[in-house]
Amino acid sequence: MDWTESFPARRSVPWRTLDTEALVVDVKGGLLYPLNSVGARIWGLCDGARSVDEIVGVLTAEFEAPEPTIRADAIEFIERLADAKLISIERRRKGERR
Amino acid sequence: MIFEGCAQNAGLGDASLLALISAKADRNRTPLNVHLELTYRCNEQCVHCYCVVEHGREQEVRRHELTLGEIRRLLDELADMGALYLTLSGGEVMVRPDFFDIAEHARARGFAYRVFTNGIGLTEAKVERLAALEPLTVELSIFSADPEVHDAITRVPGSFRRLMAAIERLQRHGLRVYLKTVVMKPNIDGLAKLDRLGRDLGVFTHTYSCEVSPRVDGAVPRDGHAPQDYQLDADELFRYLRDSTWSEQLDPQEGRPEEVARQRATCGPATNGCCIDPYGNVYPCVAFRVPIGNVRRTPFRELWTAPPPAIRDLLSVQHYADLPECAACELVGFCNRCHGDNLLERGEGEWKRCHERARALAGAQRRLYQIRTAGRS
Repeated sequence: MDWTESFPARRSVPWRTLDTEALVVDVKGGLLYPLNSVGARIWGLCDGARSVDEIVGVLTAEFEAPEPTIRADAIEFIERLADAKLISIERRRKGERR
Repeated sequence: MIFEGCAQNAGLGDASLLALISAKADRNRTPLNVHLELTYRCNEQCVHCYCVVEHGREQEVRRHELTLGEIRRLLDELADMGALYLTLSGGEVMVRPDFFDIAEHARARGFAYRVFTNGIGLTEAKVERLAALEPLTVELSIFSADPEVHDAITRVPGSFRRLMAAIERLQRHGLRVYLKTVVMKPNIDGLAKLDRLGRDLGVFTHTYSCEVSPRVDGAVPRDGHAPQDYQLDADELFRYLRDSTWSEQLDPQEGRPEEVARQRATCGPATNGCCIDPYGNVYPCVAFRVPIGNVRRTPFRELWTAPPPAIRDLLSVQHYADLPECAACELVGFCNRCHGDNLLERGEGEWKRCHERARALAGAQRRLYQIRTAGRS
């Protein structure tokens, strides 16, 4: 998948950031997802405006870890969010309007 | 690895992480759970109800209820402060013509909200509208599988039939139906049949409670019977525990009372949640009716962050050992006292003393536990 052209966006689900963590509720499935501080940061960045590449860029600037590690882990996390239907991943070219 | 644990947390809802977040919410006093009572008016008049306005006074109280605009502003403020779980309760919420506007705003502000209703006003059109607003659960009271017993408790003929129709509609529209039963003198004999009915209906869950709270306004209803008149006595409590599936889960904290009292946490009203009544009064919980303040006069944030002395005193009670009588009580490991019910039963200066009702239940639980553990050994 081309992560430059993949834009993850939170679905309309109840959620709150609490301190640095977050709680996300899947109403349809009746599930509660607690996210740790890194997960909460990624969740916050999944606004539909940033591509996965851009999210990785933000995280690389904030966390002291090699970019490939951050990229692999962030992508795995985003894919899990998508599998849980908490986010959608839109494919579009950079600069193309939603 | 910087993201260790992160991916599985997102997928699986790690229990220890949830405990950490809950502990932080307690420590920071984030109002995570808000119980919002929209009205005390109701189209039923349940014999044991702690809040409902008697027929004839509806117009008088309606004038004082929070308006839609006030509720919207309140929800905005609560969302900004981290409130996530919202219960829309009554009275009967459906008697408010603006109920769906309130639910819509709750959803738009990202609340995971539950709706408490008696179901009798849930027409097909209302259920359809509710389903589109995606509440977490719709929670209904059912008192018996016998229509006559149920209707006698609600004091509305035909309420059982209408409740059954509402359950069918809700389930057909994919809503998660949660049934709740308060067990009292009038319905204790039909619990096995009621339990079968709940299973046959295939509801999401069905829970029981034998706790009957006194009226929050201290009034005695016109028929002269207070809610407490319908409470189970000691023998009935034992019978209820013995015959219910709940009692299978008895898991007392054992040890010397003073040690148990030091370790055992009490319920913590006003720690990570509160109750707001139809007139804007904020309370630590549904039962503990000492006001923190009123949102019509003071923004919720101000009330919440600078509570009055009586509430600070309540917040200082975190374990049973913080109460004067519990460390010497042999039932402390079984006890689940309710500060609020005790306040309503004993009065404001006395709520820290023994909650006799909880003690009676704890005694029945211990009796049953002793019989069961003796049978296993």
